[in-house]
Amino acid sequence: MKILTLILAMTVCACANDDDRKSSAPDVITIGVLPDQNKSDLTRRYAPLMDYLETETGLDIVLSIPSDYEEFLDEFNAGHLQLANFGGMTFIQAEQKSQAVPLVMRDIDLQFTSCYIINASDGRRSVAEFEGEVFSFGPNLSTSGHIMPRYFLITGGIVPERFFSSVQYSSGHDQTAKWVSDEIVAIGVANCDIVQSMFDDGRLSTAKLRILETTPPYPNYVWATQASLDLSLKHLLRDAFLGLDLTNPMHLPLLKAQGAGGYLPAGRDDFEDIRAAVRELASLVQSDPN
Amino acid sequence: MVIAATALLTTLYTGQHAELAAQDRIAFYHLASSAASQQLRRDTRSINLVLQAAANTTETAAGGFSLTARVSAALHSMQADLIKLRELQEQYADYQFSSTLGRLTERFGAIMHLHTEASMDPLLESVEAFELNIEQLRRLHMIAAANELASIEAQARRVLPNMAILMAILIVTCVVGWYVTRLLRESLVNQKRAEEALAASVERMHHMQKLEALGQLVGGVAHDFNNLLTAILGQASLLEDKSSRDEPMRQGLSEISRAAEQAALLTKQLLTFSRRQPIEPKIVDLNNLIRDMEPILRRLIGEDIKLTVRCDDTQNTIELDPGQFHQVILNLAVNSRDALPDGGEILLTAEHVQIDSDDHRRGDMVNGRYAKLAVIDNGVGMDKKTLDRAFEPFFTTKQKGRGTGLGLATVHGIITAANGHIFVDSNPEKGTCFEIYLPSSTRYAEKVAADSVSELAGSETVLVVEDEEQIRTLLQGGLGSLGYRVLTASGGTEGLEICGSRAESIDAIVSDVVMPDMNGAAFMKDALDMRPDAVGIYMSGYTDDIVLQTGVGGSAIPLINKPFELDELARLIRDRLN
Repeated sequence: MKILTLILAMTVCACANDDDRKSSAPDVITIGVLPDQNKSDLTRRYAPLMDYLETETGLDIVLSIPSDYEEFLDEFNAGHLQLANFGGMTFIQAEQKSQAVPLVMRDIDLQFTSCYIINASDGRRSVAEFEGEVFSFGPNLSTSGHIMPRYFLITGGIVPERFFSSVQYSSGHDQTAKWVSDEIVAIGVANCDIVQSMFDDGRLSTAKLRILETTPPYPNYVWATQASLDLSLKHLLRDAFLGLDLTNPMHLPLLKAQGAGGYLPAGRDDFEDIRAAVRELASLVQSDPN
Repeated sequence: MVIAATALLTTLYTGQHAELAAQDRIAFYHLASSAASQQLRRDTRSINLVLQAAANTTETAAGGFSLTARVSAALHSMQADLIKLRELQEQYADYQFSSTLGRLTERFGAIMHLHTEASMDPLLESVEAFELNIEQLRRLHMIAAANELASIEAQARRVLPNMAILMAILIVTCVVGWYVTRLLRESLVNQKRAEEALAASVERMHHMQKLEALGQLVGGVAHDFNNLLTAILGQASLLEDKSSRDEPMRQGLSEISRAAEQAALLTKQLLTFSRRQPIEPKIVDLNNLIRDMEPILRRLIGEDIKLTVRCDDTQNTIELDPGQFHQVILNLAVNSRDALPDGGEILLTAEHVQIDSDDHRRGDMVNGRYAKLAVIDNGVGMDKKTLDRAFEPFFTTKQKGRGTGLGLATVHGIITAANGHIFVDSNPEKGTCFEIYLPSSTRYAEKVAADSVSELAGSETVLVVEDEEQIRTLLQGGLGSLGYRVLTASGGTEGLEICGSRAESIDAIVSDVVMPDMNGAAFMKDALDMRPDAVGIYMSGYTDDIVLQTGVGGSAIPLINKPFELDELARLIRDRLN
């Protein structure tokens, strides 16, 4: 119920802007990333990108990994992060709270998907066969681990809290995968990109876990800046991202670590589908308060 | 194996090539879409600039018309760009970015709607968002193209080593296949050779067994027959003595004796074939034996046939009975002569050869050094059937009464008894080749040294009278080397001159029987009258009949038949002088 209330709260109104945040051009840029995996994996994954941005922009870059999604949002809204890698849902919240400006997104982010994952020994073939089982979302503010899968489940006729015997929320996509492979939950849903990267680097074994279904595509992650950030800095950072080239051998490891083929300029309209999904969820909750 | 490897290589190459071509095609599509997006972006920017300019100026009626016309033109161009993008997507059946393209189309519809409403700010905002979406689409296609190109490169990098490995496998397969084929072929050839050699060996063994059996049979009969002939000859001789006054009976008994002697000659040949004839092997030089017999052979085969004798310069010593070997050469020469009724050529060669195991034609011969004698003619030759029976006793192709059928059988017996080997090769109308191999002897030097020092040497004076210069020279050198002082004369007249004119003693006179100026008997009588202390010896190369006609027969002076070995003459001289 806590989660549904949160969704409702997000759709009611945008909070007032903080007046003390002014246009600035800091020499040090603090970059925050969504804590959708454990901290060490995230540090390893983002280190090449941070080095690249420092070299390309000439700025000092500091990487900040908050402990959870709420802290991440708080840090951004407090103006401690100049640039942040948001999920779709957290971006909408930051946009509402502090007019976060979308900068760039990965090529895969326009058509992102979530994966329903089950233990490899389980022979069932669809989510509909898991009625009465223990189910796990990712973090409750995660677009791919919660918001969009919930939206697709409900529009598909499955209200998780009624259909499954129990609904859990993990701290990250990697934890959801571990719960499923360790048979703590029967079925879970996670970011497909992260699940695939875990298969690729050996953190997951196909002998223990398999992908059951994939959701329809939706827009997800986006790099966004504070609205107050100097326009030239925004352009400097945007051009650095857009300059990453798959055909450049120096950029290849970085892009591979990010699971990207390249970066696109991002706009507010790109997340209209998520906004629509959140609105839809809110209306469903309103019509069915149970 | 090679064909399978080639087929596999071709299949893999074709598959890889097709996949790379497909990827190349997709990469081309993305690049083309990216270019179309770029054009759309340019058109959008131009409309954006027009709209921004319009927003900053006061519209007039003419300006409004102009603005509307420019916006309409730009929108028309944008519409064309969108259609082109859609066509490209459909042509390449790629719907990866269809939702993005759909969103663009939808937004374009909104722009058109706003344009008709002439609401400037929302239109400007919408066009800016549209421009961003176009850039996204262009970048998506660029990234997809780069991904495809990287994939093509990666696959090409993977394919190249695979192709190299496959090529290496193909080459190795070819080389191994070639080598195995060669080994198999060599193995088959060797097997076939071994089988042929075995078959030939078996055939030779059967032939030898057959000849051996015949030899035993013939030898047994000849031995018993010889005893009977001895009795017949003895009794005939006794009866001849008792019937000296009964001329008809004496003549009859003489005919019986003559016939019995001829029969004895035949049994001697039979015993030779069956190797029961007593033999007296000696160490001799094959080359010398052949050279010594050359004059006799020339007279034997006649002038219509050209005889060529070739002996190599190396010492060619063998151990056998010289008398028997004379018979071998004579029999083979007669055989060749009879094969040349209309004349031709006979080649007689002697050489020292080494036989090794690789010479399969030589059958069971033990490896080592051999004296080889070959008698070759270009006569009528023999067919296979005749050739197979050539060494059988009593087998002859000659007319009745012309041959006994024992010539080649005797040759075979003598050569086999001397541990030698005889081979014959013949083709009808082309000729025949007999090859005889006799084991080389290493005892020559010992024998010569022993004979020359202990038995044959002397210091006396010997007069040699001989019209043949070669024989004269030979005897002068040979006897001289044994220590004798040798005087020579080319005929009886010169010989008598030497006997009369020389003051020193002449201890032995060796004379030819038939000489151009006077016969040997007449010369010997006058010479011994002049030198009564000397001993005389006749030499002759003619048959007994001719010798008898010269008056030599029946005298006390010994006769040595040509050809003779120098040792024989030296021994005779030494015996006479002693």
